[in-house]
Amino acid sequence: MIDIISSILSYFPVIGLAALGGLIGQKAGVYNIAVEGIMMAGAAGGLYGYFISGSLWMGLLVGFLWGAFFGALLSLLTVNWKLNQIVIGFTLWFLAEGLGKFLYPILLPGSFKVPERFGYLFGFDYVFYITVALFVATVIIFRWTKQGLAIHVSGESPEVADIAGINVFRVRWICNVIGAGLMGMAGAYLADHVLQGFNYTMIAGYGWVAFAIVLFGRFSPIGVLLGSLFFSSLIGIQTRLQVAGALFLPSEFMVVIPHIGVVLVLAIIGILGKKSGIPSALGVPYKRE
Amino acid sequence: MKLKLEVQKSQLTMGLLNVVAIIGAVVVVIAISSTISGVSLEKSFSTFLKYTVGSSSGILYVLKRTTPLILASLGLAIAFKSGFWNIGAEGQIAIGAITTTGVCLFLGLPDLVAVVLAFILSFVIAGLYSGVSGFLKVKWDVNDIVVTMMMNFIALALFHYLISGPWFWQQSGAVGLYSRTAPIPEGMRFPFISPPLSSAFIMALAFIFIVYFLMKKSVLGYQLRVVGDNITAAVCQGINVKRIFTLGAILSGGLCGLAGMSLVLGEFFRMQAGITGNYGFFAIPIAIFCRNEPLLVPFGSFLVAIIIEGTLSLTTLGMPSALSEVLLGILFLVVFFPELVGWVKKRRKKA
Repeated sequence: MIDIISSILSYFPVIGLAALGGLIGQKAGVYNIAVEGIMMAGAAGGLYGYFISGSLWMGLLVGFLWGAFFGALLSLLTVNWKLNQIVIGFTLWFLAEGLGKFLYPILLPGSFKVPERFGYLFGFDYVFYITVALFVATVIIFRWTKQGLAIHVSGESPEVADIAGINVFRVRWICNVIGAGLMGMAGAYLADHVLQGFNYTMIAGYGWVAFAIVLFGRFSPIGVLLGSLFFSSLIGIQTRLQVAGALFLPSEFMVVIPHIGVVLVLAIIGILGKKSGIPSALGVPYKRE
Repeated sequence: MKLKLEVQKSQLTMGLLNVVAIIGAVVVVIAISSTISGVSLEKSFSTFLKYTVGSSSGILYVLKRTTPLILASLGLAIAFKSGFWNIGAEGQIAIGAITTTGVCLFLGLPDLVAVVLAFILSFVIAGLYSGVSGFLKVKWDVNDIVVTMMMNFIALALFHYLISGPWFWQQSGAVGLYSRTAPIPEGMRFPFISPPLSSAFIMALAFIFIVYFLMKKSVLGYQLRVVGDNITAAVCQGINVKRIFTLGAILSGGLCGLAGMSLVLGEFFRMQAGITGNYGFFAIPIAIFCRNEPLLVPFGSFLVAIIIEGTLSLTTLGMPSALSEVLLGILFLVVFFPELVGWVKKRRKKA
């Protein structure tokens, strides 16, 4: 039983980390639509980290740092230089995805395979627990700490935050860097642990699914957690059925079940008229008078 | 009537600065990547030039690539101008290609009728495919970026299903399996101007002016621009925002559908894996870079086509195939270079 659950949830850390990263950055008021690309860069970085050190943890760290680099670039361009966040997001998506695919064949032998996986505890691997712990930490930080309030206010009304003595620029910088870092880590985990190798279509829209989950979870950590569980099980079930050869649809359509799910779920939420919970200042660069 | 570019002089200098910066970036990136791959600089630059603007056949190949880029970027320019973040161009191109192939191969119509019907249907069906996302956005505030992106995956899944399943075609006596359909009958193809460039290119050029007049001179274009600029103002003027926005989304997807048609009837003459060639994704930055001005779109598309074709030629020298993506990523960062200069200047003034 636990085997089945854990194999269905094998994509949870991938989707969960990326969605959590998106939540943190966007809660502070900056769109990050480069998720897909940052995950690709993180995947290449994760494999490189493992390749040079022989440690999966090093892989995760390199993935995180790669992601954080793009988070810093995003902050520089949108927080300091106040360029359009969506346009910059596209740009970074191209750049990060291109760099991942470009550097991988240069840095690593073509058919590199990771021979090991993270250790397991009660049927789930370590990163699964880390992801859950990060969600719990985010809930605590958002609910009960001063820092969480600072992030919330920076996203809702940066003017008020500024008057209250919060450095909006610094908050947004930190959230972007950590958020994008988690996305890179998600990519590294996908490459190192789940697929144990690299291919050019490995991210397969999971970054966009993660981006959608933040909307689906209405910008609350618990909502995002539930969304990640739901969509990662869709992906898990889909891969499991494909491996088992139980195709009730042509394989091309099996692969896009999660994507169809995203469209349907977002449309239903929209039609039901649920409050979107979008931070009021999301997408608006803060300018100090 | 006189065509007018709605850019100010300062913007024009910025545009020039852009082009200079882009050429600089291209040169630097190629230099770095050829150093990494151990290819001599002279060889990589001469290859790049030979396959792009340095020879007449190179120019024809670049113009061939420009065709779908122009159509898709025009479509996206309409969408972005009206405030619809349509990043589903890739999927809409696929839908256009599917419709065209279906009409031309399986309906058994006379040549001319089939081409006209393919033109209309690929516009309408791809338009509706994008229109759904636009309608969801304007009616229920469903995030357009996510939905259009997801629709890409769904359309491409349908595309790959068709070429490897029901529409799969195997040439008798051929060795090896290719996922592709039967060829389109000769009479339905766009005639060549000079191979490999087909007259689909002329259709793309014509659409530049059509979109220009639509956006700049027609009531609909005006309404689209108002909706994109300021919804409150649009409502105050009595514009039916929902209808205009959805219509804009349909037009935008329709043009992308025509890009798919131009690929099938003007370049590949069948549906096969990879013909959408990421044009739909490259078109996003082109539209943004050209500031959604229809008259600038051909230049942006030409530039990007040079980069795609040129980096493709570099892969024959053993450079990674993702070079074009890196180059385009850096290129679109460089596009903001003028803004950066403006920002630094302003800062200096303040200090």
